[in-house]
Amino acid sequence: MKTTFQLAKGLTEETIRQIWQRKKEPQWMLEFRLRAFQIFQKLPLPKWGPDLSQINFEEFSYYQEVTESRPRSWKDIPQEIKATYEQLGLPEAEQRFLAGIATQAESQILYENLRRQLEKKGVIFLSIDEGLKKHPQLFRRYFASVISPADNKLAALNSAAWSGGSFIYIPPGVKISQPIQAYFLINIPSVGQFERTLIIVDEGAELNYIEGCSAPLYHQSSLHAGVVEVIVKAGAKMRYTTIQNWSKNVYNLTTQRAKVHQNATMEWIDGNIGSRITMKYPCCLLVGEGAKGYVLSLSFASRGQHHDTGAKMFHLAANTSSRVISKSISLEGGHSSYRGLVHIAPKAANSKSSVSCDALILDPQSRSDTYPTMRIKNPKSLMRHEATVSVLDKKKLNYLMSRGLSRTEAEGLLVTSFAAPITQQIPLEYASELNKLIKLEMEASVG
Amino acid sequence: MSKSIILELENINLIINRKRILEEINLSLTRGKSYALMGPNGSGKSSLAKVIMGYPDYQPQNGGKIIFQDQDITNLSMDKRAKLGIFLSSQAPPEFDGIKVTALLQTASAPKRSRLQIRKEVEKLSQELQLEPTVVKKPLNQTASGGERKKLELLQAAILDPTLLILDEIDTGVDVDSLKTISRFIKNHFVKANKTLLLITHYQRILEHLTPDRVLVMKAGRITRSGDYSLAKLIDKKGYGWI
Ligand SMILES: Nc1ncnc2c1ncn2[C@@H]1O[C@H](COP(=O)(O)OP(=O)(O)OP(=O)(O)O)[C@@H](O)[C@H]1O
Ligand SMILES: [Mg+2]
Repeated sequence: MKTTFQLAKGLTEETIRQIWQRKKEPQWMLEFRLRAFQIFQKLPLPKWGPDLSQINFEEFSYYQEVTESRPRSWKDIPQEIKATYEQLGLPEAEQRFLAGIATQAESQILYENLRRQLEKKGVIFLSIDEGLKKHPQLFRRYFASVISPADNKLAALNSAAWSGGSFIYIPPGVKISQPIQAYFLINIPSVGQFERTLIIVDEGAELNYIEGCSAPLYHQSSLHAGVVEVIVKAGAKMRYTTIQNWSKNVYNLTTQRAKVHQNATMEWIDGNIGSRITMKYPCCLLVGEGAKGYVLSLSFASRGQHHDTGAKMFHLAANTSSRVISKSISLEGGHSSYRGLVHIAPKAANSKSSVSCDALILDPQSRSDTYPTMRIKNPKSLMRHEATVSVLDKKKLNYLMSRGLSRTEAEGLLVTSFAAPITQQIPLEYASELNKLIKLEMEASVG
Repeated sequence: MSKSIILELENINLIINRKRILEEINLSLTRGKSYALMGPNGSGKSSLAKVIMGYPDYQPQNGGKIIFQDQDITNLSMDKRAKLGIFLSSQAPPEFDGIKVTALLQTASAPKRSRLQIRKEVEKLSQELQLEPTVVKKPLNQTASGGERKKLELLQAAILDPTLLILDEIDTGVDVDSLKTISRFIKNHFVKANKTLLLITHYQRILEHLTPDRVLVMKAGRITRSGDYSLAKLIDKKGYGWI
């Protein structure tokens, strides 16, 4: 990836105009960006959760142009990424696959086929900038319709300065069953600072989308403030999986929200391993009768890390249901918190919500908290909340060691099995990589 | 020490929370022989087994020594002892909620044996033990019956292939047919392979299948008597009161 243009540091009306100009966007987008900037200036940082006072917003350059082409061969993959794959002990076929130069069948052709197949079905899979250019009406209809710039300070910042991300539209009834990795399909830098993703899954359609990569990504800039908006139309189904492993200097403050219509299903699967601070609460607005929302989240917080993650479920129609499963692992002084909100509106009769949070704490220096908020405004609806905090079970640890597993191996196995309810939900190659990563992190913390 | 001695315990004393559990235990086990360890509840049999395996809370005091195959292992951690060839089948194996027996064994046998190899062996051995595939595929011991747990212990032993096999009440809670299966399995995999066996048991039944070379009796933390197989029969008839 090569930077070919970079704005001076700091964000002003002038720099926003420059971004807009360079990107050759329509007039309405300039107005949108400027309005968002005003909101950004007015809104305070969140007063709860991790300490964000060290972020200096003047320190960042808010726009870069980079050239990045999808690697054509193994030679083009950066050395440090290769090294990590080696460390993870992945077979070369798998390495090539993850590096995006080959699909499971080891073929570039297959990938091209997939792209053509999708196009034939009327699927739009573009970078967000291309999306705005090629489909202006569709774009304008849905952009910021789920997350308004006024939602929070970081969403406002993203709205003012966004660039990069993806734009996806799945036409009615089209089902894409195999998981689709954004990085393989869209020719965009995958590490945008203010990424913006807009996904529309039309009636009865299905999409299984994966964002991120479990290989550690070095991010030069220490702030990542993404916005992900998803619209799931009636009877449609969407699964959005994020595996985040930013380097440990990064503040990851991302807003993700889905509007879920009648009898539609939205699933957020969220794995947070890296970053210094992550604040992220995937949200479902269950606006249609019978809508379902799921959040499965996994946090692994080690030394110097604070993950404040959770879920928000708004039940705004009858017969809606939601389920949240959160698992966190804290070690070496790491800190993870679950922060969740379940809101059942007066008109959301016969709705159900269940939340379970399990925290595993590996040593006395580490910490875990739970902050659940429940607002049940309909007497005919049900809400269940369970939380457990546990330490590694000595009996099990001893038993495993008596079978010849070293302490680190035994702990690794216990920790990955604790995380299994989440990791089992993601595609095998990512899950096994995630497990290896957890073990690597644990070995690093011992040695 | 003679080549034929595989394990030597020298003056083992164990006190936990000021409670004396084992007292001056001296014992040598001969390679390839089978021993029965009997004694009333609470006499210290399982504790002795844990001392040999190296459980963290069961470190002997006052300079007691454990010699295994001519090596002093008194200060070795459990995993190292397991790698040297000691296996203890637990009297009450814990129930896991995520770890399958295959995954455990794959980790324990890596990198020597491949994952596929282990999976195939597990499959074959579980048939031999008449373990239902559904039981084997669940997380280890999850919802498993008492007898199934015992079989899962033996399955692990067969794959890890120890030189010294300590079976703590492998016959407790096992039905007549399963007892036959288990005994046959122990004979085929361990006795015939000239492994050393330490069988902790309350019952004569399993000893009928696996005739021990020696019978050791513990009482109040000491080994108070030893004899040949006939001692076990005597205990079955008369209990421990007369010892
Ligand atoms: N970790 C421990 N802490 C405290 N006391 C213990 C511990 N382990 C064993 N003991 C005590 O030591 C004594 C011997 O226990 P052990 O389990 O070795 O007996 P056992 O001979 O195996 O009995 P059983 O036939 O009932 O299995 C018992 O009184 C028991 O309560
Ligand atoms: Mg016992």
